[in-house]
Amino acid sequence: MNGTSGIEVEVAGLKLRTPLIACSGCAGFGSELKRIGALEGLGALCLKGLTLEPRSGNTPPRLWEMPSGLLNSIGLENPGAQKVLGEILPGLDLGIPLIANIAGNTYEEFARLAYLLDSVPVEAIEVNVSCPNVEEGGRIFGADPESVYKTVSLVRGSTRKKLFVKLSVACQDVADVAMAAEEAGADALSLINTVPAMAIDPITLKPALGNVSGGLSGPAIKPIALLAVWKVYRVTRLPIIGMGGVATAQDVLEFMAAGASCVGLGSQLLRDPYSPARIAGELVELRKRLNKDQLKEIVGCAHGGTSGSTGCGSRGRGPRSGTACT
Amino acid sequence: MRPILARAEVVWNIPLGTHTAAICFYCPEVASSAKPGQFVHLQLAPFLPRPFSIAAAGNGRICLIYQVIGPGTHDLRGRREGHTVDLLGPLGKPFDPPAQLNLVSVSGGVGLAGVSWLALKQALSGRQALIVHGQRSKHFMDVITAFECIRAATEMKGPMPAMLFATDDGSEGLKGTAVDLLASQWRAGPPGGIAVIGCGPRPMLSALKHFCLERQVPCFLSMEERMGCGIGACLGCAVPSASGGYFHVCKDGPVFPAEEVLI
Ligand SMILES: Cc1cc2nc3c(=O)[nH]c(=O)nc-3n(C[C@H](O)[C@H](O)[C@H](O)COP(=O)(O)OP(=O)(O)OC[C@H]3O[C@@H](n4cnc5c(N)ncnc54)[C@H](O)[C@@H]3O)c2cc1C
Ligand SMILES: Cc1cc2nc3c(=O)[nH]c(=O)nc-3n(C[C@H](O)[C@H](O)[C@H](O)COP(=O)(O)O)c2cc1C
Ligand code: FES
Repeated sequence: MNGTSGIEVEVAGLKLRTPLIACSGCAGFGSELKRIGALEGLGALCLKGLTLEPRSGNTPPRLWEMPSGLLNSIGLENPGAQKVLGEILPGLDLGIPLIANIAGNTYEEFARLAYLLDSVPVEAIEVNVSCPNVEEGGRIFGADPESVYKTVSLVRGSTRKKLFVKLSVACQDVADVAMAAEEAGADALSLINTVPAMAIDPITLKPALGNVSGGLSGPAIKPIALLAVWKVYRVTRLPIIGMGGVATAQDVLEFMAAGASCVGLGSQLLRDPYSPARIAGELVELRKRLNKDQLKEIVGCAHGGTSGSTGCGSRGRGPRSGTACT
Repeated sequence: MRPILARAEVVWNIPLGTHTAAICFYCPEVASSAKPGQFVHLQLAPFLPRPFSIAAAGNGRICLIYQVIGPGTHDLRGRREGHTVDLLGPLGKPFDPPAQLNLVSVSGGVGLAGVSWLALKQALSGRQALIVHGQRSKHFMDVITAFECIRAATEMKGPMPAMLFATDDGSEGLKGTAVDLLASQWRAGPPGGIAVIGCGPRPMLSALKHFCLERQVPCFLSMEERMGCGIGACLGCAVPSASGGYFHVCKDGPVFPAEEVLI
C-alpha cells in the first residue's frame, strides 16, 4: 500500500499503512509470514504471547474446528523473555510496526515483562489480561475492573511504551473493565480475546482438546466482538482495535462502524495467510464507493443513529447501551 | 523453495475404494519445488485448510491420496476435472534418509501417501525399495491403480518398488498390520543396510518406532496432527518431543527421526 490509499489509520500515535493488525498467536513472531511473503496488507503485527519463563504449552490436541471458527488451547507456548528479547526480536526485520503481547502469572510478572520490553524495538505492548492470576485463585486478571486497574497501573509504571490492553468478554461487563484500563493509563484497547469454550469429540465422547477448555475464535464470535466494541466505544475515549472473526473487508467496515479504529486478523490468517493483502485492496475500493477520502471517517458511525445515518454519535462516558434483555 | 499459494486445477479425481480416492492437480509452481515427505494445505469448504501429503509430484502435477472422512475431504471428493482449489505448498521438511541404504516404507491406510513418493523415486533410481503396506481390507484402497495413475501423471517411467500387503480382515496378503508383516519378513531373514520410513495411524507408528529402535534400524516417521496455519505460526500442531517439550508437525516435521518423537 502506498501513502495515498486512504486506508491509513493512526492508533495511539502509531501510524499504520492499513487498518489490519495480525493478532497475537496467529502470526508467530512474524518470520513465518515473512518467509512465505505474506506481510503485504498488514499495518502492524502483534507477536505471540510472551511470558517471563519459557512455556512448553498444553497437551495436544490443541486445535479443534468448530462451525465457523476454531477452538484452541495452545497454552501460551513461547521460548520465554530471555530468548525472545535476546535472540528473536533483534533479528526481526518485518518493515511494519511490531506490538509485543505479554502474559503474566502475577501482577509482578506483568510489570517485569513491561520493564524488559521498554528497551526493545517494539512500538507498543499489548497486555493480555485473559490469563489466570495464580495469586488470586486462578481467576483471570481481566475478570474484574479492580484487577485490570491494578495490572495496567503496574505495567504503566514500568514502561514508556504505548500500552494496549487486551480485553476478554469473560467478565461481568466489558465496559467497566475498559473504563478501569483507561483510568489506569492504557493508550488503546484490543478486544476481544477468544471466548472460553469446549468441545466433545463425537467419536470418543471425551473432551476434544488435551486441555479440556480452550478459546473460541473466528466468524463464530464476530457478533460477540461487535457488541463488545460497541459498548466500549461508548464509555471510553481510547482507540479500539476490534478483533473476533474478521475475515472480509466488509467485516472491517462493520467493526470500524461499531467504533474500532482498526482491526485484528486472527483465525483468518490460519485459513489464508495471504488474506491481508486482498482485504486491504478491497478496503481501498470500498472507501471509494463510500465516497470517503479516508476510511477512518467511518469509525463509530453506527453510533450516530439507526442504519443509514452517518456521524459519530456519542463517545466516551456517554450513555451505556447494548445491555438489553432479550 | 519457499511455499506459495497457488490455484491448482483438478486434472482427475478418481475413486480407489469405498472411502478413498486419488486426486491430481495441475500446479507447476508447487510441483517443481516439492520433495518427498512434504505436504500441501488445501482451502476447502471448512474454515481451516486441510493438510495432505504429496503422494507424488512431477510434470507440473501434484497427486494426493485421501480418505473421505469429514466435511473437508467430502468437498475434495466432489471436485471435478477443471475445478480449482487454492493450495499452499510445499510445506514441511522432506525425508532425508541416509542415501546409501535400501529403503523399506511401512504404511497403514492412507498413510501410504506419506511414504509412497520416496519409495517410488528410490526404485526409479535403481536402488532397492520395498513397500510394506497394511489396510483394513482389500476393498479399502486399490493401491495398484493408485500407483499406475500417479506414476503416469507425474511421468515416472522405470522400475517399481517391490510391494507386500497386509489386511486387518485377511482379504489380501497377511492378516494383520503392516508392522506385523514387517516382523514376519524379519523372521524370514533380517535384511541388512536398510532405512525404514513410516506413515499411518499413531498406534502403528508407535509399534514401528519400537520395532526399529530395538533392531537399531534408522527409522523416519511422517506424523500427523490437527493443523491451523501449516507454516509454524500458530503452534497448534504439537507432538511431544522425546527430549521434553513439543515439536510442531508443520514446521519441524512432518518427518521426524523415530527416536526424537514421544509416541
Ligand atoms: C501432514 C499431514 C498429512 C496428511 N496427509 C494425508 C493424506 O495424504 N491423505 C489423507 O487422507 N489424509 C491426510 N492427512 C489427514 C487429513 O488432513 C485429514 O483426514 C483431513 O484434514 C480431514 O478433514 P475433514 O474435514 O474431511 O474431516 P474432519 O471432520 O476434520 O476430521 C475427521 C476425522 O479425521 C481426523 N483428523 C482430522 N484432521 C486430522 C489431522 N490433521 N491429523 C490426523 N487426524 C485428523 C480426526 O480424528 C477427525 O475425527 C494428513 C494430515 C497431516 C497433518
Ligand atoms: C491459535 C491462536 C493463538 C492465540 N494466541 C494468543 C496469545 O498468545 N495471546 C493473546 O493475547 N491472544 C491470543 N489469541 C487470540 C487472538 O489474538 C484473537 O484475540 C482471537 O483469536 C480473536 O480473533 P479472531 O476471531 O480473528 O481469531 C490466539 C488465538 C488463536 C486462534
Ligand atoms: S499448524 Fe500452525 S504451527 Fe503447525
